[in-house]
Amino acid sequence: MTTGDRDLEDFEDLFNNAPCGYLSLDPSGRILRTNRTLRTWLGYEAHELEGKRFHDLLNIAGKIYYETHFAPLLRMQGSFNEVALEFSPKSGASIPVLVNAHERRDEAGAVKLIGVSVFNATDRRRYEAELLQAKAAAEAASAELRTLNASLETRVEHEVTERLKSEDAQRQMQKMEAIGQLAGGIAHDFNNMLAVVIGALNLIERRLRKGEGANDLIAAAKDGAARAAALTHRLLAYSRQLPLEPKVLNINRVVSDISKLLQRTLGEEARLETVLAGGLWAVCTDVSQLENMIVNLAVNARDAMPDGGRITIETANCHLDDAYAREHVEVIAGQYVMVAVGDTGIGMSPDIIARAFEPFFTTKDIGKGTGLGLSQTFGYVKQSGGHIKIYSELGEGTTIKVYLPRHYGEGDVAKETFQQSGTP
Amino acid sequence: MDVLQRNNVHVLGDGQRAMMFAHGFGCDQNMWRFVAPAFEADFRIVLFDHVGAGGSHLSAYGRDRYASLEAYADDVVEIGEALRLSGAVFVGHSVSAMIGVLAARKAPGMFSDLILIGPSPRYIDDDNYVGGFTAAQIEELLDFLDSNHMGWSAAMAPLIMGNPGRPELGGELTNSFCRTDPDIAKHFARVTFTSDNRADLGAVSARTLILQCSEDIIAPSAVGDYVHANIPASTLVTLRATGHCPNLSAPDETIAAMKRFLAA
Repeated sequence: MTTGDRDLEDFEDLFNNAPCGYLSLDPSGRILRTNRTLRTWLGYEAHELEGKRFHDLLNIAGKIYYETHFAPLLRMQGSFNEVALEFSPKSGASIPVLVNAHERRDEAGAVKLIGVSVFNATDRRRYEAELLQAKAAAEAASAELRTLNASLETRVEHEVTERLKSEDAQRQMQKMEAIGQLAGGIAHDFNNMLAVVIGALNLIERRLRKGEGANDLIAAAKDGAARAAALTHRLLAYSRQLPLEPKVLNINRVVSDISKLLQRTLGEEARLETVLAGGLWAVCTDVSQLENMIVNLAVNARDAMPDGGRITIETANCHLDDAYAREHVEVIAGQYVMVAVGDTGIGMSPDIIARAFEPFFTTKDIGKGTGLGLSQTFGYVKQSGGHIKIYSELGEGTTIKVYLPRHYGEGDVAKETFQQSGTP
Repeated sequence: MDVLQRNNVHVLGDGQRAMMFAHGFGCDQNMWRFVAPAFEADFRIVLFDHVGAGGSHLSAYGRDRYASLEAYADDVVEIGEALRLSGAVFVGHSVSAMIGVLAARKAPGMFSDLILIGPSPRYIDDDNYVGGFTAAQIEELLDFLDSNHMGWSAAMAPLIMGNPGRPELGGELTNSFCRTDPDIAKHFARVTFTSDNRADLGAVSARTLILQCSEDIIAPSAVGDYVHANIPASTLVTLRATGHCPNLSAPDETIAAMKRFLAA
């Protein structure tokens, strides 16, 4: 075998077994020769392909596009590269391919033949399809995100509105609950008092029919009616609708006046002490409410000391500063006159302190307390522009401090010299 | 927008009489590069690209406007009016043959001669009419265009955008002819292959030359015979050239046939 023979054999081997398909076409596009790789892909014998036109190998879209796009391109530029087409093999399925073509010309410049190489693009086409799907998915996700962003503001606004609505509803419910509690309590107490009055009136009627005297029953009925009036009075005070008759006065004097009376009311177990500040500023308030308040607080103090103890009523000039005002939103910083009622009793837990001013809340046994004392005090203090605060520890006793605003100007009864007094 | 810019119109040659060349589906005015120069001495040559192809303004394209061949014919008339064409020769290849038939009807007097290369008034077979394609085949083509987007883009990629990742493929070279937007090409394919202009043939009053190729799968000889039978003053010449683009594969034979017709 000569070198030339070997070369020829090599070329033939390469031609037939190259990893790409190869065809040569005559200038009109008819197939002259094919390599074995291409025939294996297509499932045709060599003689079956010879004489066919190139576009016969293509699907319908390929035929049309080859004739309208790629054949003209080949004519104009002498070649085309990597054109994606689909071959229709004998088996019927389709093979995605990438086709390169070039014209081979003779010395005169006329086209001798067209060389076509073909790459099997099955894998590449699959990647492309996957890529396209991924791209579509990414675009869809991105579009969804854009929509989400666009609607976010509206949704936040909607959520906030909903939240506010539900909070309003909850507040309304709590209010209704409180009103219900109040109404129930009043009805109960009022009924009791009416029962006394009606019972007494019935008995009076019976006694009068018999011609008997009924002074005791009349007294009882009057007492019941008076209690009912007192209850209404207290309710009005709580609801801050009680007409106050404010007068400029010195609290020291009020405390002094009622302390003797108080000592008798409180009994011997509770020892009453008063610590009255000199130079106490004047306040302008309703004296009977003030007295009522002191009595209420003192009675509570006594009831907190079943084994007896000491009750201290203290007065002082006070300055509630900005820092204190910041901590207690309802307080306006400024000068106040403090009156504090302290005991050495059982004290209150934080839970009880939190509810102490609620109407009808009482820790006393049934029949002993109305649950209106502190709430009435609270109503009075607020109506007077003052401030009330409970200091208490279980087992250590309780001090309730009431601050009433200092009265300036005419009618100032404070003749004593001002003495410095600290903030609470 | 200026019509001449919109359609990338080029006017060459010294002749008194104008000859307008209209490219078909799949290419642009480049496809006349072997034929048009042969007429430059005797004619004023008008070359243009349909909107969506070649150097036309893609912004002028709209699917609604170009939903039928009528819009393309309107463009031809607008170009003709802009250039004050009268008694001109219209040379239309493939789908532009029918566009020329429509334009001639819209603007009587603008074109006195029509040269139709590979014309087809309808591509889909219909009763006794042979169009060359079954309805199912055209359906397959349109499905392929719709569903095989990536495969299709890849097929068009070397043509329309070169191959930026592989400069050795010669982006410059592959990009220089037949540029077309793939989406517009898809729609143009739909408009073209579902068209039916058989009823318009009888109204053609211009002298008409039909150039029919041998073995043209896009417009088989039966279609050429039909066009010839239905256009009153028509001449049919069957070329030895095979395929659908004799202006590229057999320019000399094409030129000779055209000159014979124009001299007659």
